Amino acid sequence: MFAELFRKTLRDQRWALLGWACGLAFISLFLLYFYPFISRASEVLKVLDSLPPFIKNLVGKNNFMATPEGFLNLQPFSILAPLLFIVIAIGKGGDATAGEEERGTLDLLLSQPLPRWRLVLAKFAADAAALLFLALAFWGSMAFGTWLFGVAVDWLRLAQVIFSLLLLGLTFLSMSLAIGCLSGKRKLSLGVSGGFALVTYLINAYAPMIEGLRSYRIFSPFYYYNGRAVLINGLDPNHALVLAGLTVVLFAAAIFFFSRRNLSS
Amino acid sequence: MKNIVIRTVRLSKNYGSRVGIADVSLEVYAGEVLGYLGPNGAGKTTTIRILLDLIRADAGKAEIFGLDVRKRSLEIRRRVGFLPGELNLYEDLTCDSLLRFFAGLRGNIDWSYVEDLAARLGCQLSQPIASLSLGNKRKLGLIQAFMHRPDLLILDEPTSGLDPLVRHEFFHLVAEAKAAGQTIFFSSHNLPEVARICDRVAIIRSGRLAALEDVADLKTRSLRSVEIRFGEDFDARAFAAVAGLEITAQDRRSLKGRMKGEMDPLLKVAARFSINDFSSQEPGLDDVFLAYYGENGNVC
Repeated sequence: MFAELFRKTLRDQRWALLGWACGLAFISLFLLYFYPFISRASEVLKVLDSLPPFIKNLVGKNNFMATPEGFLNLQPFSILAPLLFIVIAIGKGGDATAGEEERGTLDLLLSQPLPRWRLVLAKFAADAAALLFLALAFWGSMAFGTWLFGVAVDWLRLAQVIFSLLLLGLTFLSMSLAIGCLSGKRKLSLGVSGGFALVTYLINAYAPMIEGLRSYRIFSPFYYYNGRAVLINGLDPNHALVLAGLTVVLFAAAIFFFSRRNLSS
Repeated sequence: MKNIVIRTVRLSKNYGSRVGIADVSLEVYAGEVLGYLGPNGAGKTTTIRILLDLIRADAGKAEIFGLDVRKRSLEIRRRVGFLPGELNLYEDLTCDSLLRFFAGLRGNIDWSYVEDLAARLGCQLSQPIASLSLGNKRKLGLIQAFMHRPDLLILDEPTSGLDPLVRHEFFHLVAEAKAAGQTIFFSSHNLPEVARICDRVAIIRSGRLAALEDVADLKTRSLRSVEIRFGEDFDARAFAAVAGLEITAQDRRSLKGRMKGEMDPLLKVAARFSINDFSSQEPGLDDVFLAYYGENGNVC
């Protein structure tokens, strides 16, 4: 029963997953191909390093071009990768139950001997597996790119930052799932989760520069994702636990909401 | 004592200020076909969705197989086949893959029975669902409702969109299910089909149960239209004393009217004269329906 729904959820998105995986591979190879040219372009580095800290904090870290880790920490791991993973995760979470409800397929599905909590679990598990697949594809293509273009990056560190990226994706997946389970409205789920992602991203980016905001950084999932530059400093287990904990709490909330609600026809 | 399969006690559900259903109490017995009759918006689908635990009642109690529909929903759904009134299917699947998906969720499905149902209803399993007409989608919905031979079938407007031949086959399926001891609870606003296949009918109006009676009793109480053509001049005064007859038109050699109840008194009086032709229209439930709803039938 669980396996059927898990399989169907994954099968429904197989082509989209393949497309995303190819996109992530392209980004990885593209950035790694260009890194050697950029690292040799001293004029560019000077310009970039002369940017005000305000801008550098917004897009990455200080000294971000001096090493491959610094470069990759800026791009793709500061903006592009989390943006893609969050877009994918929010889309999946919002569609999991609220999408079925809006398309009117939920009545027939739930007339089968399937407990509501198991439906939520199967959908979440399948979407989490899809994110895991993308994370593995991303790591594989990054590792391959570093080997292919001779960019010296520790593959374990690469795995750590992508693992953190996966946890960030799972956090937003469970958030949009919970809002969809509460409201039954896919667009509301996408809007609220997307808005939360934008606001918390900006808090994480601006907070270090603004005295009054600095302490608020801990409220941003992005701080726990890569606030300490995982590729350079390694994964902080406490930060990973915060994201995992958020995921568990939001997933539990999703089951709680969905089990108690009148479903719209 | 009859086994009760569905039992609701003062079941109520509101949608904001609008009444969905109010104080609906009914019992459906094992092995019977009960028609749940009412116009659109009367509360049929609301009742069904509460029974399947898709929505929760505000007040009252509902049980299926003696189990609370809220607390024991999973056990109930194992033994129920359901066809929603508004049927939405996964458009990216074929008929075959959809049925196999539901079969996988249920387990222990006899696939040869699925193929038999598909053949009888004229459903080609290899077709993509996206290419199906509304009627063909309904056939698929019926197959998934019947395929696990459930103890109870809850069918919301099952004949909607079906062509006459398939509808005929559906009536056969219902009769077979009934003969096999299955219970069928189906909603409809189509009076003749309810009269044709149901043992009892529950009539719902504006969310409230207006009647719950045997179809045979309702037919007896309904008005038949009668027309007699005599072979000679007849004395209309002889018919004035026939209980239940209301004469609507007459001339020297014919009489038209509406007859309520048994036909015997009318036939006995008519037999005093030479009769060329006698016709009596089989009573439908329309008259009863109108009696409960009034002439504008859409009250809800």
